[in-house]
Amino acid sequence: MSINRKEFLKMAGGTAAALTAAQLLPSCSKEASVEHVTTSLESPDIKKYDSTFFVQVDSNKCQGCHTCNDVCPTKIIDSKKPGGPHYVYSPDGCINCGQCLVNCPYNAIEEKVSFIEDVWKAIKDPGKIVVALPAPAVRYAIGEPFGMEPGTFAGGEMYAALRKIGFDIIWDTEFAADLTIMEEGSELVGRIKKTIDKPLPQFTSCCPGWIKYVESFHPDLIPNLSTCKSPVCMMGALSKTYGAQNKKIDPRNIYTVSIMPCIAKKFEGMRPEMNDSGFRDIDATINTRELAYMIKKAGVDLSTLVSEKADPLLGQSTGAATIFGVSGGVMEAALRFAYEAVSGKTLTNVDLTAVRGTKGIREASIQIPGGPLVNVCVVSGLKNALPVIKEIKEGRSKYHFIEVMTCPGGCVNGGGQPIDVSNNFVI
Amino acid sequence: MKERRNITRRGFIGAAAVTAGMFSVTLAYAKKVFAYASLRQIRTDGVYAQDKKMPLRKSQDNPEVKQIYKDFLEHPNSHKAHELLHTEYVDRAARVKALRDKGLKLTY
Repeated sequence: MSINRKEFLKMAGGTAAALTAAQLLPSCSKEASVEHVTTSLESPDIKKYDSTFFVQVDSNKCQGCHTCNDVCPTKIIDSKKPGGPHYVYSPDGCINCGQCLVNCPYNAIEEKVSFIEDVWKAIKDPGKIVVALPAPAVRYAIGEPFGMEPGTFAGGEMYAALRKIGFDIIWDTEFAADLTIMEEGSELVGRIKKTIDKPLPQFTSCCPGWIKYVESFHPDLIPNLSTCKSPVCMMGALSKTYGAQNKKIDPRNIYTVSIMPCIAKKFEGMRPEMNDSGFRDIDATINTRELAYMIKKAGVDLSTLVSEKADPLLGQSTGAATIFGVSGGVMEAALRFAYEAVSGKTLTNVDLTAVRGTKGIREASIQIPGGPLVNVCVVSGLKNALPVIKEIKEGRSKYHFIEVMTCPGGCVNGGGQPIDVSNNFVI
Repeated sequence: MKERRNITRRGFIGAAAVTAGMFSVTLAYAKKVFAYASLRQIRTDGVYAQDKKMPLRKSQDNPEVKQIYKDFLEHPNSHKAHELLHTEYVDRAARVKALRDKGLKLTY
């Protein structure tokens, strides 16, 4: 069959139009499957941090099962009619926790903000000193994508892999977790002793989902939030001041990468107020899945690497820091500090099991020798915060200190952690 | 008087299929939830096991933390610490109110 003139022109026109469209919209196809999660690889616009969707539903994959709405703490993810496709209505009501994403039985929820390409660019730039700031919970899940048993501590292998893929310095966010305890614990003691003019109970401020929730839904409780930045934001500010001074690096050349078990940390890192170092404190934020993806892309098998150590100055940490990764961990770490700071005595049994466990709301009272009886509360899963918030608003809360983690179980179960797809529905 | 409706073969098969379908979806969902909860527990156990192995277990004992207060931050909640390590929060309630005014049923 021969092609006539008309057909040829039609074909040529179609091809030209398709090529033009592809050039005009390169973003359409720029996505990747990052550890089973479809992730948009477009560089995010930092200025639009509060009008950006961090997660969104792929309406072609959504089966309308409503699981996402069940796990959503704010119910911003819903469908127009029952059984219809769900979607995140607005970035405003979404606290970016990603629990919808990790719980979706159809893998229908995608990540819309990723710094992967930006981090590669910084790594390839010889003028940039790229600093990795890994969170506690990452090292308990980063082994999973490489076939290691779930729950295996892979901190040393993680450091080795970070160096292998081109990070210049590893300053551990666990260091800043210890520092957070010093700052937040001292703030708590100050509020109890009334040397700090802020109300009780004091809320923890490490969890970015919780912070955006308070700002959006309960702004009257903002004075109750600890004024402490989250550990990684402290890390960003210190890397470009104290770190730069000690290492004799121009802070302009430092590129900080926050590595988190979390999606909401991307929003936190993009906040304009995080610029106390005189620069952007956090240049990029990736999560555990994205780090695994990058390590694999570089052809590195994390499970075969020999354990390494973090870089000194901002690299050392204690057990109190590593338990930040679980619900109740910040509380336990703070109590290990407050007990000794107030009483001046040594705490011999540091396992404060009263604040551990799986219940959504846990409470404990700790008598500090020569000091007050401290009533504490641990909230695991943001839904469980509501009764505690109600008590405070009605003026009948007995607590001094309340830890809230948006994700049930804390950061080890964060929205940025590897997901278990073995039990997903096959469609 | 209304005629009593018999269950036809087709009707029975249809109903059975719907029941089986719902059952399998429920089972699959339960399995997923269970696996998910246990994965969370396994990671949590890993964290506490590592805490026990750490030579230092209290933040105030971290030598680099002591060093940074000595060389740079002076003491917890110092002026310098406030400058670099503390922050302020933004009231975003108006945005949520706008969503509610549009008729969205958000939780509190």
